[in-house]
Amino acid sequence: MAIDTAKRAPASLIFMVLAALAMLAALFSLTNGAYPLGAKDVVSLLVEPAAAKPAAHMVFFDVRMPRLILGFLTGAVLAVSGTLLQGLFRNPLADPGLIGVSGGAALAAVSVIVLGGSWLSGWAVLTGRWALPLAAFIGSVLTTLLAWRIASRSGSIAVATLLLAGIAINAVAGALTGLLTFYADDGELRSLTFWSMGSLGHASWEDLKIAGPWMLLALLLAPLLAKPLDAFALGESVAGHLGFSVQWVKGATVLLSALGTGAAVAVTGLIGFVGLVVPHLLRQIVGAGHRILIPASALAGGVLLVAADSLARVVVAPAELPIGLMMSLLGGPFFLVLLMRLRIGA
Amino acid sequence: MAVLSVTQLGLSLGRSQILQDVSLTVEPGELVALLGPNGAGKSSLLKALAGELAFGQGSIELFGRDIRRWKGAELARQRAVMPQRVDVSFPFTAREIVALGCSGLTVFERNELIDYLLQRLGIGDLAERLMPTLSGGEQQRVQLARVLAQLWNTRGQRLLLLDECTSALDPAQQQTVFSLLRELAKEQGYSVVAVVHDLNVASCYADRLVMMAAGRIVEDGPATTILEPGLLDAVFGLKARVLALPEGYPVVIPQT
Repeated sequence: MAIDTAKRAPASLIFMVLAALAMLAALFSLTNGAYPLGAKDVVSLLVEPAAAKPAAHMVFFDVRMPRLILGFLTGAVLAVSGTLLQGLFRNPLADPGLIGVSGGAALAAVSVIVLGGSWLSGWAVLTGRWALPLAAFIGSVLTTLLAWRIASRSGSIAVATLLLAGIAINAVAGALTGLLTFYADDGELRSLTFWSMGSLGHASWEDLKIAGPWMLLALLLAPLLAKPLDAFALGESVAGHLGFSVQWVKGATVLLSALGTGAAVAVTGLIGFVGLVVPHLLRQIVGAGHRILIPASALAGGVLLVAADSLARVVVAPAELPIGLMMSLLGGPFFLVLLMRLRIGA
Repeated sequence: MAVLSVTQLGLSLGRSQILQDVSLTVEPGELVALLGPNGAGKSSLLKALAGELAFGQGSIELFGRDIRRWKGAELARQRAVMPQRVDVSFPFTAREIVALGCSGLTVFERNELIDYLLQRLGIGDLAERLMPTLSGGEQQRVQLARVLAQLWNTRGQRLLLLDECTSALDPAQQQTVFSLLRELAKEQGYSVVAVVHDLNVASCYADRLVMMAAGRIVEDGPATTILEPGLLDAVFGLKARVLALPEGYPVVIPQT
């Protein structure tokens, strides 16, 4: 019998390991880059910031700190959104991209990049340097709402239709994005290519100020969905029998993931894979219960993105690889190996 | 006061009339078996009673209140539902599945209740197993434990709606389950409405048999009046002998 019982590490151990990994990743990220900063410097900068050299102070607090925090939040929010949507769709293949979030964000972002000087100059003037992230955020939320509208009939949502609508909307958004790419000049082409590969390179406190609250909101509210999503694993009708308000759970899940992911994508560009891989991997280790899975996903997603971002800065230094590229480059093969070893035991 | 009272219920999906003029009353402590051939509307009736299907005509009252005026969370404390099939989409353990039915308990009380229920259903040693590694019959009993857990600590009237809750079980396990249901009805006052295919199980354990055909209730009464060769032939097209056992209930034996 013992062979078949679930082999699971205790939650407290998992969280301790994840916390330790987070510290390591943070240290790696903070000490890594053109300006030399060691672990000792990091400690002294944190303990006594006033005593540091101005250059070190600037690099640490205005470049690396916001980058670390933005990277961690983005990874956390992408992983948690993936967890929520996989729970809602009862499918380990769901991720935030599927309900139209990234397609919509990309279309809006590319529109601003290509048409910002012509048709959309009014938007560019109105929003200034926030033209791109704001458009991406609005684009992601709008496409999600569109998918939601298509899937709703007399007040209830058909989850399968929502998924299909998301896929179709992504395809249309992708085609329109392609069309815009066709009209882009060389400079625009370059910036939209880089946007679509994602980057934390320009992270600033300003970015955090506009995107951070949405990401934090999504992260803080997500645990409230743990119990209803457990019930959803038995199907919508059983969740209803158990007393959960099914429509409310669906709405809250989609809204939180669209807001969180939309905000993340707006400031970092497209970063795939985190939302798909992290929940899937963790389910094998901590089990499928969302009470543990959601916070563990947040931590692991944050660690993964910070670590990948640090690596992206090292491998081709002094240049850096786009983080989205790095994620797919590392994550893809890793995930394949994992699948072959587990043979999708779930 | 009746736990469940259905008056002239009518339900149609698209153009087809699924239920027609269905009236049914269930009292506290009663175990009612819903019988009938496939497609008679048993599952649809159960789904309507569970609030899953919206109905066109008539009314359903649960515990004296119109079903549409119950809040989901409130109703979940007094009425539990076991669907014909439940697919679990992620690798949960049996314990985690049963825990979904437990609310308002400490971790210790919850685990105690889960162990007790699994024990009663004969699968006490499977609590830590992952659902996908369990057989169909084991999974069915885990789901049944979840459904029982949901009402276990409720005071007052309770209603269980069970759709073929023993379809994957062998005769001995079926006996275990129905003895437990009968005990809950007689000693705790549970009301149970169960879709049953096995006529003899219905005869042995149920207080009342409700025979359905083509979306209507054709007969409602004790086993002795329902399990009657003429009716069985008319409803199922089943040629059978019915023997009266000295224990007081009839048994149905198909004729060769």
